[in-house]
Order: sequence, then structure tokens, then C-alpha cells
Amino acid sequence: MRLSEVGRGRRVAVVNVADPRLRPQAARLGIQAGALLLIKVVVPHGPVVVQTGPVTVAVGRRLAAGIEVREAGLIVPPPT
Amino acid sequence: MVIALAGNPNVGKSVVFQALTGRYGEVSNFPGTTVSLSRGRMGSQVVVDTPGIYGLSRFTAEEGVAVEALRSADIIVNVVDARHLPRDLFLTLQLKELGRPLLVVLNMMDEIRRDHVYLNADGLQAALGVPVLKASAVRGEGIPELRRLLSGSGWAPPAPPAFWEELPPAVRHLDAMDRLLWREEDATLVGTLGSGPVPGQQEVVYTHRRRAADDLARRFFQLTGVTKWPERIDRVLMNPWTGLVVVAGLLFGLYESVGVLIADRLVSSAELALQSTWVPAVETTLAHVVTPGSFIFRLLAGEYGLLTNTVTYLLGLLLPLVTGFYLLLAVLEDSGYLPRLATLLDGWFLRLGLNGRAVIPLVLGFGCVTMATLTTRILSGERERKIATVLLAWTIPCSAQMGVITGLLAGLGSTYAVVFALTVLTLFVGVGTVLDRTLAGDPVPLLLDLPPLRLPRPINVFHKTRQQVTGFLREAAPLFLLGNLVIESGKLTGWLGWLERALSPLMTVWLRLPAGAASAFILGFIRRDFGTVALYQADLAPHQILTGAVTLTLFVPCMASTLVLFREQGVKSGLGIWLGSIALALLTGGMVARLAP
Repeated sequence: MRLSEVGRGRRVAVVNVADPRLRPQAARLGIQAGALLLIKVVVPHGPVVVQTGPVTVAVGRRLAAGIEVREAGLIVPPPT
Repeated sequence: MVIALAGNPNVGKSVVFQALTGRYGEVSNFPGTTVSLSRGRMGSQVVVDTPGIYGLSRFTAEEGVAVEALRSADIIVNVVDARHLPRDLFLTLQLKELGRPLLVVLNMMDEIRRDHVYLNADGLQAALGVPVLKASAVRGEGIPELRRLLSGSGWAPPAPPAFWEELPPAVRHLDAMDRLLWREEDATLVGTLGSGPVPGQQEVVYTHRRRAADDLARRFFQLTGVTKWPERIDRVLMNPWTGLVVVAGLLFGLYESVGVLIADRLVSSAELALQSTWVPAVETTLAHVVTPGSFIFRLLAGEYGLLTNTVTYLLGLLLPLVTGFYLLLAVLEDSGYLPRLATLLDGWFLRLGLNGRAVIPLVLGFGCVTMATLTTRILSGERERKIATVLLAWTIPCSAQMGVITGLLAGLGSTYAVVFALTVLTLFVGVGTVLDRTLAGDPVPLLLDLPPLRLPRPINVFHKTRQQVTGFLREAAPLFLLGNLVIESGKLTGWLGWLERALSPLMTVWLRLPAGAASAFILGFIRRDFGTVALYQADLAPHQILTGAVTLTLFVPCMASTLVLFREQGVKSGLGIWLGSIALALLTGGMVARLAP
């Protein structure tokens, strides 16, 4: 499943970021394999806005189409 | 000793800088405000404020600026947004690998409770092994401690980073910054040295560092709840329908406040007052000292006289307009709206070869094209910088000019304003589309951090507006003198008349303007708003005003932005863009003269 195909309000886990140009930049913002994302806004024909931890990031549609995700349901990060 | 402030965009570095040095840096609520360096002093120490970066690398031109500033720093102060700790720790861990004295400032501590954040600063300090300080720079909390730590001694260099041991001998001569960049496959450095690490190492290092940051965050940082209202507002701002309604509302508000209220009412009365009292008074007084009609007299009190009309234009006309514009921009910047607008418009901007990020320099261009051209450094690649620079130079009127145009057109009724806006918008889209089709490559997809929405802080808005307005006056006043000197000496030696005659077919036949309009264009070379101001007094028919306004909007950028244009794009490409603006302006102007109602 691609990040661009996920609807608002869903929670997903990143499997892989395809675009090698943006992989390091995405990792710096917290979007890398294993990261949990909450889909906050989906702009039609536009970016997908996701929340990871406390940070909100707008991901361009083409980049989102190259991010493979899987359903994460209601996985809560382990307590500290 | 050089102390450098480093941190992610929008974490309050500039506020910390201001608290340490007393100098006011630029503050706003979107990434990319500090595109160049600010320097100040704290006692005998130099403090440098660097552009916000998410990591030490050179993915954009602005990151390159930060990297160079941090290279020569003796102490690095890493300012961190406490609310966004997991994100910010990536840079913190990378800065640690420079092997320099490092101090972490957890800023915005006053907001963490409201944002449902739990944070264990002592635990973080122990785990990181560097001093971690809690602060709220806007309230001045934590600043005295920071000063004390910075002025104290006891800054023994930390242990050298472990990876230095593993570096091949060929790169051991590099300084700490280059060692770090080389290990992470920095393209420029690997290119000059001719050899890099094992391919794919960047990703290995990045993944490892990201995991380490996440691990620290899991131990010392926790979100304990969510606030619902920002999410609701975000949905309104970034929904294609409601979002566009908001944009339209803002544009209407701009037209009503700057155009109708300031330009039409305030400016006309201020200008009238100055024209009827100040100008005659100066002329009478001056006549006692200098012969009326002489060169000096005309320089001081002539058509663009330094003591008469320069004062009227700058204070009576431009100052209120520019202040109105900057005030509005400052509110927009401080609220965090612009990154939302960038997200909303991303899909459209891709068709112009840009991504949504370009909204930021382009909207700033409505304030000042010069500053906005510098802000193109936040864009992801050379291709995007070029497209944005051309769009700025050709199609975006700056606040001063926009103010004058809004004023001119508001007097004519809304049809002319709409035709003007549509013409410029069409060209904006047309030029962008053509550039996207002709320049090699693709736009880089958007990846933009959205800062939390907040109510604009009046103090920020005030400082920002004041700073921009004084900057405007400082730059415009001497240039007005220069423009006046050019025009008056042109009249004296006769070359102005000659040029007006030479250009008269272009003016009268092609643009259908009076021959005298040539002087407006000559002033336009110096500053576009001066050219537009000259239209004010030229007593033109409504459709001539429209032609003049369109042509001068597209005409060459002012002298200051021309210089920045050449510096950022190089002489060859800069000259091309500059000449292109003249061609586009004249072509469009002629068409407007024929086709507009």
C-alpha cells in the first residue's frame, strides 16, 4: 500500500521510502522505515499531511506515491 | 571565540540570538527566515545566527551557508524546540559528531505543558553527555544561565568522535566538518576529493542516527494528549475549497485595507497635506538661498526634488503603503499560515516546475523582491531556484510598487484591478509553465515541516514591520536622490529630451502612452515603485494607467534586486533574466494597450 492511497485519520507504519534523493531528508524529519504516521489531511491531487510523533509534515503526492506503508491500526508506542 | 547558534528551522534561534546580543534578527513562523547569517557580540565573543537546518549537509543552498558558518565555530549552541524533540535530536546527534564543545538549549519550555508534552531534561543531559539547558527565549527564561555557561571557562574539547578512527588516511587531513560530510557522501566533497566512502554509507549513517534519536526521544519525551483545534483549522486551511476561500478572503482584505483604506483615503489626504503645506514652504524658503530654476534648486525642489517631492512620495505615499503591506505579511508569517498555503498550492505549483515550498519566496516577493530572491535559497535545487527567481523578477510587484498600483487602480474601479490581476497572473502561470517545459529535470517533490499554528505575537509583528520599514526607507531615500540626479542632469544636458524623443514611438505608438512616460521607465530602472509613482502625476486616462501599471510591474526589478539577481544567478543568466523582463514588459504592455477594455 502506498502513502498516497491512505485516507485521513488512518495510522500506518512506513515500510520503505522509494525516492533516494529524498530518503535522507525524510529520515531527518522522522519519516523512515518503521516510523508510525497518522494521516491528518489529504489534499486532493496534492500533498498528504502526516504526523509523526509531535511533528507535522506535508509530503508531496509524488513522494507519497513512492512511500510504501502498511496498516498500523492502533499500535501505541511502548511505554517508557 | 565564535559562538554559533544551530538548530532546526523555526525553533527560536533568532530569539536566542537577540537575547544574547541585543540585536534583532528576523523572526517568523516558517522555515527559512534566516537565509543569511546574522552576527552580533556578547562581551568579547562573537555570536553567529545560522539558517535553520534539519541536518549538516548541503541539500539546499541555505544548508551550505549554515555548514560554512558552523565550520569555524568554537562553541556550538544547539537550540532545540522542546515540543519537537524527536525531530530535533537528529541534528543534535550529528552536531556531537563534530567533536566541538556543544550545548543544548531546550527552547519553548513554556509551551510544552499546553502541548501535552512530558520531557525529562536531566535524563537527556546524562544520556547526551553535554549540558542541556531549559529555556523560554521569548520570556527570557534560561538566558542568564546560558550567558553564564557561555562566558565561563571549562570548555574542554570533548572526546574525538569514534568514527574518526575508521577514516582512511587519505581524508585525515580534513577538518572536523569535512570529515563528517565525507563520511556521509556529501556530493561536493566526494567530487573534489575524487573518492568517497562505501556507496550507501549515507543511508546507513542516517538510519542509525535516526534510530538513536528516536530511542533517546522514547526514553525522555512523551506526548500525553492532543489538542483538537489546530487540527480542525488545518483541515479548513488545506482543503481545496475552504482553503481557496481563505486565500480569496485574504486578497480581498489586502485590497480593502491597503488599497482602499490606506492608498485611497489615508495616502491621498497625507499627500495633499504635504503638497499644499510642506512643498510651497520649502520652495519659498529655498528661494532665499538658491536661485530658483538653477540646477541645485531643481535638485532640491524640482519635479523629483529631494526636499519636496522625495519627502512627499516617501513619507506621504510609499511609507503608509509599505507599512500596511509589511504589517499584513508579518501577521501571515508569524501565524504559520504560509506553510499551509504551500501545502494547498503544491499541486498547482508542480505544473510551474516548482513545489509548494516556492510559495514562501513568492509571497515574500510581495514584500520585497530583493529579500525574496535571497530566500530562494531554501528551494531544493538549481532548477527551482532559477524558475522562482525569474517569476520574482518578472511578475511579482514588491510592496512599494503594489501599494502604488493598488492606489492607482482603486481610483478607477474594480474592473481595472481585476484586469490587472488577471494579466499578471496569466503571465505568472505562462512563464512558469514555459520554464518547466524548457528547463531540463523535474520538480523535487514537496517535503515540508508544518510549524504549529499560533496567534501572531504583536511584539514580533511590530519588530518585523519596523525592521522592514526602516530597511525600506534607508534603501529608498538615497536611491530617490540618485533617480532625481539622473533625471535633472538629463534635463540639464538635454539627453533626457533626446531619449524621450528616441523612445517616443515606443511610448506613443506601441504603448499608447504620452512621450513623457519615458521618464517613468528611466526611474523604473532604479526602483520600480518610483516609476509607478511617476504615473501618479502624469494625468493619464484610465486605460493608460492600466497599460503603465502592467508594463512597470513586469519591467526590470529595482537596482537592489538586480544586484542580488546577478549575485545569485551569475552574470550571464542574470543578464538574460534582466533583459527578458524588458522584452516581456514591452510586449505585454503593447498588447494591454490594444486589447484591454
